[in-house]
Amino acid sequence: MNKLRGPELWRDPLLSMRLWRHRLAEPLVLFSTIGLLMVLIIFSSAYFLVSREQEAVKRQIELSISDIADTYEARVLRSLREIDATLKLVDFVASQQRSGVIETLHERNLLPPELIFTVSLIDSQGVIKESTATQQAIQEGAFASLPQVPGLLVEAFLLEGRQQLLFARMLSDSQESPAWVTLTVGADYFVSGYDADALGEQGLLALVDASNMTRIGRSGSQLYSSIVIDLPAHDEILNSGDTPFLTNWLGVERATVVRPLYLFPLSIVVGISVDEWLAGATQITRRYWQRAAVVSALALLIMGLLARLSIQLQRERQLVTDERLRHTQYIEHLAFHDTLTNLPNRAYFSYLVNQTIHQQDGQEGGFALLFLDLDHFKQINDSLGHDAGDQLLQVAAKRLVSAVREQDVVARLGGDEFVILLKNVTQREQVTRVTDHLIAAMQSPFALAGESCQISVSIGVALFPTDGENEKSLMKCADMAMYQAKKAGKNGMCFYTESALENYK
Amino acid sequence: MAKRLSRFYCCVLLSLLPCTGFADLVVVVSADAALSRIQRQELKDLYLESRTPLPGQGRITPLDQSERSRERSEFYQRYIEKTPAQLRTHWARLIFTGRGQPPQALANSQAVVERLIRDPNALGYIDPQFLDERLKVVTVE
Repeated sequence: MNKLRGPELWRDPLLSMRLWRHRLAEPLVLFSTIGLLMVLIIFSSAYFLVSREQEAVKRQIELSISDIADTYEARVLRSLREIDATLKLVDFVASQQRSGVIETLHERNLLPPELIFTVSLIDSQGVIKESTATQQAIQEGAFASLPQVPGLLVEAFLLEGRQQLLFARMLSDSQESPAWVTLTVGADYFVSGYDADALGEQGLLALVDASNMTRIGRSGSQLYSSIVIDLPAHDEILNSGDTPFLTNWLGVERATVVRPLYLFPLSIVVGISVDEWLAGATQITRRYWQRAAVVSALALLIMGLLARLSIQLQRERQLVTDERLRHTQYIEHLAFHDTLTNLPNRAYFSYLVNQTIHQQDGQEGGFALLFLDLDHFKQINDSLGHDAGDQLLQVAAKRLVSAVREQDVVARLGGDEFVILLKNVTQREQVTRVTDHLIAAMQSPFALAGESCQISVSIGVALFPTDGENEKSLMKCADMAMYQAKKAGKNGMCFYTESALENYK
Repeated sequence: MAKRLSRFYCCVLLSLLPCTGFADLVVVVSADAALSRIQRQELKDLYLESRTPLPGQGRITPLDQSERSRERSEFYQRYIEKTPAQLRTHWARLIFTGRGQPPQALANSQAVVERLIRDPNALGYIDPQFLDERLKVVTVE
C-alpha cells in the first residue's frame, strides 16, 4: 500500500490522560487487584477469628482453673479440719482415761476409716503406745524427732516408697513426759481428687509447704514429692488473687494458681498445661486457616475465570475494532487513490499541492508541477485492447514513480494523464534533470499482450510561484505547457511561457 | 467294696478341691432379714458404695472386718475382686471428695455376728464356724 495514505487523523490530546484509567480497567490488572483484595480480606478475617479464639481459650483457662482451685481448696481444708478434729478428740479422751483410748474411740466409730488413716499415741521415746494399725506400719524414727511445740505439726516421711503425711499434736495432759497423738495418711490421699477430664494429663495438683517444697504433687497418674516448685514470693501469690501465672515445672508450662490454706501451714497449687489447652484451640485455628486458604483459592479461581472470559471478550472486541479500522482505512485509501495504478488521485493530489503551497507560504524556494500525457496511448488502447492499455498504465506509473525523487509525488488524473509534484525546486535545470529521467524511463519498450511496443510522453511544467500562486492556475499553466510540448513534436518537455498561453488560445 | 468306697470318697474330695480355698467364708444377714440371695454385682456395689439400694430390699448396711483379718482379705479377693491397693485408691478418692465412707470395719467375725443380730438391715461375712440359728446365709449368685 502506498505510504501516502491520505490526510492525517486528528490526535486526541486527552488520550494519554485517559490511558491510566484504561489500564486500570484492563481485565488482568482489574481482576488481579480484586483477587488480591479478596485474599487480603479473607486472611485478615481469619486472623481476627483466630486471635479471638485464643483469647477465649485464655479466659476459659482462667475460669476453669479458679473453679478447680475453689473445689480443691475446700476439700483439702475439710480433710485437714477433720484430721485436726480427730487429733483433738483423741487428746480429749486421753485426758479422761489412761489406756484403751484408741480402742474406745474405735468401738464408737469415732475414728476416720482405718483403711486410709492410722491414728497412734506416741510416748516421749517415740514408742507407739496405742494404734489403729497393729503391724509396725510406722517408722519409729520419725517420731523421735517431733518437736515439743503446741499446735498442729505436719511432717512428711517415706514408707515403703510411698510418701506419708504425719499430723501430730502434743497431748495436753501428759504428766511426766511429753506424748503425742499422731495421724498418718498416704500423701496421695490429698491428690486423689485429680480429675483428668478437668486438668488433663499434664495438669498439676499439689500441696506445698511454706518453702514451696511439695508435700505431694500429682500430674496425670504421676506422683511427686519433696521437689521444690519455683513459685513467686508469698506476697505476690497473695496479691495475684485468682489470676493464674505461668510456671515451668519439670518441663511443662502451666497456668498456675496458688492458694495458702487458712490456718494451716500449707498451700494448694493447681496448674493446667497451657499446651494441652491450646491443643484444642490449635485444631480450631488450623481449621480457620485451612478454610481461609480454600476460600481464597476459590475466589482466585473465580477471579481467574472471570479474567479469562473478560480477556476473551476484549480480544474479540479488539478484532472487530481492527476489522472496522482496516475497512475504514481501505475506504479512505479508495477515496484518495486511483484503483488501477494505486497512485494518489486528483483529489489527494490537489490536497497535497495546497498543503505544499501552504508550507511554502512566506518562505524562499518553490516547487514544480508537471503535467504528463502519454503520446499515442489512444492508438495502443484501440489496437491492443483495454486490458493492454490498463497494463501499460500500471507499468508506466511504476516507471514514473521510480524515475522521480523520494520526496516527489506522482498522481494520476485519469485516462493517460499524470501529474507530478516536484518539491523544493527553484532552478529550471533541476526540473529538466527529472524530466530527462522521465522521458528516458518511458522510452524503453513495453511488453504488452505478447507484443513489444514503444511509447513516449509529453510533459508540461509550471513553476511555483513564478507561473502561478494557487493550485488551479498552476494546473492550468502546466496543462498549457504540455500542449506546447505536444505541438512541438511530442516526446519532450516544455516550460510554461506567455507564448504558450497564446498558442493555447 | 471298701476299694469302691475309697474311690467314691476320692472323687468327692477331688470335686471339692477347687473351692477349698474359699470354703470357710459365708455372707450372712440376721434371720429376721428378708434378704436371702444377692447378685454378685449387687454385693460389689454395696461394698464399694455405688449407693444403689438393692431393688425391693431397702437400704442395707454392709459390714467389714478389720483390715488384718483373714476373712476380709478372702472376701475382697473372692467377691469384690480388688487388691488392697486398688481399694485404698478407690476409698481415698471417695473420702477426699466427700462422696462416700467405707463400710464400718468390726474387729472379727464374732463382732460381726453380734452386730447382725441387733441390726436386721446389716449384711456381713463371717467364718462359717460362727454360724448359728439367729443368722441366715445369703446365697451369692
